[in-house]
Amino acid sequence: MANPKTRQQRRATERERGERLTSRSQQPKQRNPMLLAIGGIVGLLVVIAALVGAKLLQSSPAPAKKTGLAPASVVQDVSTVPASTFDTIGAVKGIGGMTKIGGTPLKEGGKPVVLYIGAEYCPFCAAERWPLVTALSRFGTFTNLGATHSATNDVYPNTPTFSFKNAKYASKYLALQTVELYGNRPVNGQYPPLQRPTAQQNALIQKHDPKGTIPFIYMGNYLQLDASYNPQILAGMSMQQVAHAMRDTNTDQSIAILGTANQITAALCAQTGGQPGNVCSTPGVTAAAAHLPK
Amino acid sequence: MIAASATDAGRPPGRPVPAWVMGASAILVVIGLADAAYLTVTHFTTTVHLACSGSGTIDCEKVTTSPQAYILGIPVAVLGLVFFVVYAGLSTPAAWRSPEPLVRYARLAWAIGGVCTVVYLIYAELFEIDAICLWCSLVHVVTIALFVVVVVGEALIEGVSSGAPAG
Repeated sequence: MANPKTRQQRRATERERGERLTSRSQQPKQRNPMLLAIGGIVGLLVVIAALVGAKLLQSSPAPAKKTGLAPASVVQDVSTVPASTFDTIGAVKGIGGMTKIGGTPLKEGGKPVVLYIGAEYCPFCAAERWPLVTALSRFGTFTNLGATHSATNDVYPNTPTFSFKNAKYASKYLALQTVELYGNRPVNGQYPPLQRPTAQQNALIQKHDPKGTIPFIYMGNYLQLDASYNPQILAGMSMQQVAHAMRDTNTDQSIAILGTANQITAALCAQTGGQPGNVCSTPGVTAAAAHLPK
Repeated sequence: MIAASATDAGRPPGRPVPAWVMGASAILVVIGLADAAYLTVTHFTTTVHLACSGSGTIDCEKVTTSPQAYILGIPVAVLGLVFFVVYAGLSTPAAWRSPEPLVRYARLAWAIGGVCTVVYLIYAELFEIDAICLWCSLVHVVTIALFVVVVVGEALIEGVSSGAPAG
């Protein structure tokens, strides 16, 4: 039979056990580094998955994609101006500023190149896009034309206009290249860069206008720098109002925009060899052609 | 496999680092450096263009020319290049084996900073620019993979050093 412990011995043993337990529980809990690592990785993946999931949920209705596009009615008005309206305006004195340039006209896919360089903040580009879109619509079809306005803190602020940033142009006669260099809302005091000219486009700029004027519109043997008319006549108007006014030959907008469009059309007809005939041989275009720089 | 320990004869002294950790981080850093250099070159030149779709959801040009392509006025492409250059220094075998806590914390902080920036850039692409840049996405994937390698590597080394179970 085992020798029974005295009460004092039992108390001492229990005290020792208690101290051992206490000292063990007071030790700092050692974190498992692998669990921390896995937790961090899982957390990161969850955040990224949440972002992608939110985007998928947001884009499922997908109507917001059209934001920023020019109203269909405006594109329709600009691209369906009757030939008789162009003819009524004909050649307009006091607008333009086109110059004749030398060199072999640039071609792309066998078609003459029209190169537009501008920027969304620029009011002169804003004004010039109206006749340019109008004239080019006689040779082909635009899609995805944007709607924008010139900068709010520049001269002729908020001039309503198109944007070529995401626009596409299909034509059997011409190849259009467009570069919108900057946006119209300053970020940290600077207009954000939007698109950059290619090396070939830069070479054209350097050759014909090293100063880098915008708008810069290259049309083979003709070059248009700056606006053809005063952007002031578009002040305070919406795109719809401009598109409507330009079809009324009694308005300043019609004289300026369609007069310039006739001049651009005449310059483009010189590149396409007079094609299409139903555009290039109209009285308005032939009248404007007579005023092209020699 | 543990590649080195202070007591192994003929091996560099320092922390025991799994060979795959050093190898994986080196490969990822090289991929990241090459991609970031490509993005930087295309940012500053007009003769080299990103080989990438230019329309629809995948539109590198739209992303790289957006206002979000700059942070504090510095092109994100340049920030990415600097990020991987520093990462290259922090991912050398010597840096991995270094017992200096400063090196270890710097690498961890760099990895965490990298993925935080990636999360912001993914957000910007999805919700502000509304386009995805494939070359930028490769940088994002590499940065996330590097984060995984760094935190798992550190956890393994820590586990071995302290004798704690690594799993």
